[in-house]
Amino acid sequence: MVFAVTGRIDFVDEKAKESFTVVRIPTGFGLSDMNLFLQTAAQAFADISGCQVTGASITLNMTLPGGLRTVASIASDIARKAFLQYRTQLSGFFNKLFIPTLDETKTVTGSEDIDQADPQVAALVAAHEVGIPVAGPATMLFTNDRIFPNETIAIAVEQHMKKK
Amino acid sequence: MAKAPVIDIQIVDESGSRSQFGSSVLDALTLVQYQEAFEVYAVLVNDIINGILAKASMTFLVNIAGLINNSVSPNSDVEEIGHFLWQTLGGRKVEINVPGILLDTFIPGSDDLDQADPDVAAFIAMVLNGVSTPGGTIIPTDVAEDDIDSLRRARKQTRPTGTRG
Repeated sequence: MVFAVTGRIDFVDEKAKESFTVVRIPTGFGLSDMNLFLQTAAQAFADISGCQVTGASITLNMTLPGGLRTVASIASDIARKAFLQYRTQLSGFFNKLFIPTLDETKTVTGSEDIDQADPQVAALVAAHEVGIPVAGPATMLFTNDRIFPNETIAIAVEQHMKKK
Repeated sequence: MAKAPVIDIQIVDESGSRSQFGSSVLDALTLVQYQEAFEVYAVLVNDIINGILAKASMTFLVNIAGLINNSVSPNSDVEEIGHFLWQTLGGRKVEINVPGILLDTFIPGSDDLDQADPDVAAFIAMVLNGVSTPGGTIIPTDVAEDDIDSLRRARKQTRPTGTRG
């Protein structure tokens, strides 16, 4: 079953309390069309609300490809993370990722370092560093939240996070 | 400053516990291109973990800098909402609520919203008739993508802070 795209509009009131509302829209439209819808909808909300609209976003589901693992290993644990930190193209800014259920066989024996010589680890690191090519041609580059693209890996270690 | 789109992936371990991680990406591609790249990325992630990829989504921020009359009114409160209950072509009910609804949009002596108020009427029309875009008219839907086609009620409600409006 295909699920609708989720549009979200955020509000803040005079006491700085926050809330949000959700508007679902159909799939099949381009990003610019969905942007226009959310901008128009946000104005309609602002016109009848005493709060200030502080943000709006669109969330859509991605289709998982075939061939992925369908049964988790008995050794898997979301608290065991792959901590990957990348330097970005702007010096002094970094991008951090914590990927759950790191396979411990991907670490260097006797160390918490992730084995960057492992072909599968190397492939993921390379994708994070130089992007993934797509038809166009174009490349999907990985960035930090300020849109500074990743440059090189700085840290790749296993970390255990607190599990609630 | 603009913020990057984010790909979020949820991973499940053997005990059924779930965790999510997000990765920002450059905001220069089409949805088809993002999907193509994601299918490659999912396999790369799958190869270094021993949990399972349960689901994934992508979030794009919308630029709202052009909104007018968008400021906080005195005594506004997100806990006072305009509760709009809609029905879709599939027969499902959908709530699209307005946090901090303006108190002069009510019919005096009742909790009902004045649907004849020009701004309320415009909001209702936007939901029922949709918004015209170059790619077609976008009409809000339920989760199964059935269009909203009628308003069942519009009235004032109160809800605690932190909940969805």
